[in-house]
Amino acid sequence: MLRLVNVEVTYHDVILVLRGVSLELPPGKLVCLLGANGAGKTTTLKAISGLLPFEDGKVSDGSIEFEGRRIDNLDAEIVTRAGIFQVMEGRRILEHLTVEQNIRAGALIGGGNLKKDLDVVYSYFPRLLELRKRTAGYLSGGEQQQLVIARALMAHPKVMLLDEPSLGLSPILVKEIFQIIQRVNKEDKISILLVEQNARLALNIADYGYVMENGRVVLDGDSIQLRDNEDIKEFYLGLSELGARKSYREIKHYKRRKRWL
Amino acid sequence: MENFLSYLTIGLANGFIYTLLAIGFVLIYKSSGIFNLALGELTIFGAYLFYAFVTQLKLPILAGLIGSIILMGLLGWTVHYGVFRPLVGQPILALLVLTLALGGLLRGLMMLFWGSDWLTSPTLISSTESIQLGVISVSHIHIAFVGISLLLVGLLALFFQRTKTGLAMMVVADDTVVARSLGIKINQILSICWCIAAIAAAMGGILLTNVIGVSYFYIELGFKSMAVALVGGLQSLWGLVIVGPLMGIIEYMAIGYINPLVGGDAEIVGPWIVLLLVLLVRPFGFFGWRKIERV
Repeated sequence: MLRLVNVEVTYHDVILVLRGVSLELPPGKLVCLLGANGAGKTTTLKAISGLLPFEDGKVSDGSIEFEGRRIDNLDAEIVTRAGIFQVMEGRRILEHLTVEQNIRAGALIGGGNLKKDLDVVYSYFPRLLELRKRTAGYLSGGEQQQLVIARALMAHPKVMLLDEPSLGLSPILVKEIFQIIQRVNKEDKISILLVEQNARLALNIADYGYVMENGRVVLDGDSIQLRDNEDIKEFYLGLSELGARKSYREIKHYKRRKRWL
Repeated sequence: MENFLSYLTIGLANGFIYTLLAIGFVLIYKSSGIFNLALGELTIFGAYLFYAFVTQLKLPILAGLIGSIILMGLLGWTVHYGVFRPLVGQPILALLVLTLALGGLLRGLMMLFWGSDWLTSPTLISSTESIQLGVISVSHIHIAFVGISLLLVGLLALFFQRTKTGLAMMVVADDTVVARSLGIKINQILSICWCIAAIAAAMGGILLTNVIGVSYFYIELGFKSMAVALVGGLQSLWGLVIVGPLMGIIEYMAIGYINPLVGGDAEIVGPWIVLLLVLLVRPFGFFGWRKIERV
């Protein structure tokens, strides 16, 4: 459904950030994109949704296809109208508008019954129903995260690109948000590409996963395989080879460099 | 006492002209961040168009009014579509200078077509007839100033709150990147903003012709309206309704009470001094959006 083939992204015409990323999002699946900071995960999402020009970036090579149609380097408005919706990193809400106005803004793209959609969204997020008239800038982090997901739901996207939904949230809230993400995927049949730092939680709900490092995909597989993969365990889940917590007393003196290939 | 009241009411009514002109300024700033320095020129252009329709082409007044408004709307749309759309994302300073250029262009065109004399056009609403409110008499045109400004602000407020396009405009005003990612057609929205701004300026200009005829004095009025917009905070339309009359009152109080002391022309400086003082105390203006920061 959504396919990236050897995508290269350059910023300011000189900084090569993605070096040939290939990944695939089949319809109805939840795919997660893992990796350390600076690996290029957010850039991948922005390349898909057309938000690169705002940072002077562009897809300089490779292709991005959605339902058979090339969408690389298209305007963000066009990509959104085609059905791909990105929930940006850091909860970019419309601060000076009320919660309800924020949610309605998601429906501006058209093609839905406003009243029915509002009811559905408020049933997912009862907390937002209580806060409808409040200025969005004054909400707490968790509420803002719910707000951006609610806004995304109003647009009836076919694909949702979620960028670090667990950023800065308490563990209980993170669990709630992830349950909602799973619900959205299974019940509303929205395909989801999830970028996450919290590898364990992401692999718990995903069907498939890609691991990125330095602008390349270095590992991919079924989420179950990835969870049991030794390298993932050591580098992202913090578990040493024996499955136990790392003991700092036994740290090796020399640096062990892992080569992926 | 009578003098005081009449200065008060005339100042109030004149202040609403600033409100009317400032509406367009605030709209454009709010949605695209551009300081439209061509405000005064847009105002006169509308007045000249009205003059052209009614005095030169001898069309009926209503036709002239509608014609000027439609042409100004088209002008506004074209300004965004042709000039600012290709330059989205460029530094704001460049766009600001571009509005100066636009003003110069309009001024040149007006000089070319209509010369630089002080013209009069047929009156739409009388400036000599007035109604009595107690001890003071308020002329019809002053009532029109107040009425039309309030009407326009009210209509725009309804437009923003109730319609989808209005909501889209508020989204664009808040965050352009989010607006694009929500699928909003930014260029359409900005064109509409410029359209409304040009029409508001034109209406102000046409009303003014009834009082002082058509002349380049309007440019000064344009700048005073910018001062009003800045004091109001550049974000709120209802704020303009309060600040406009306030500035008008201060100006006429200056004419009435300070001019005799100082020897004249205090009213020209008055609004700017007020602007300075207000910005010292409240940098966001009285009604501006404060940056919402959660600590």
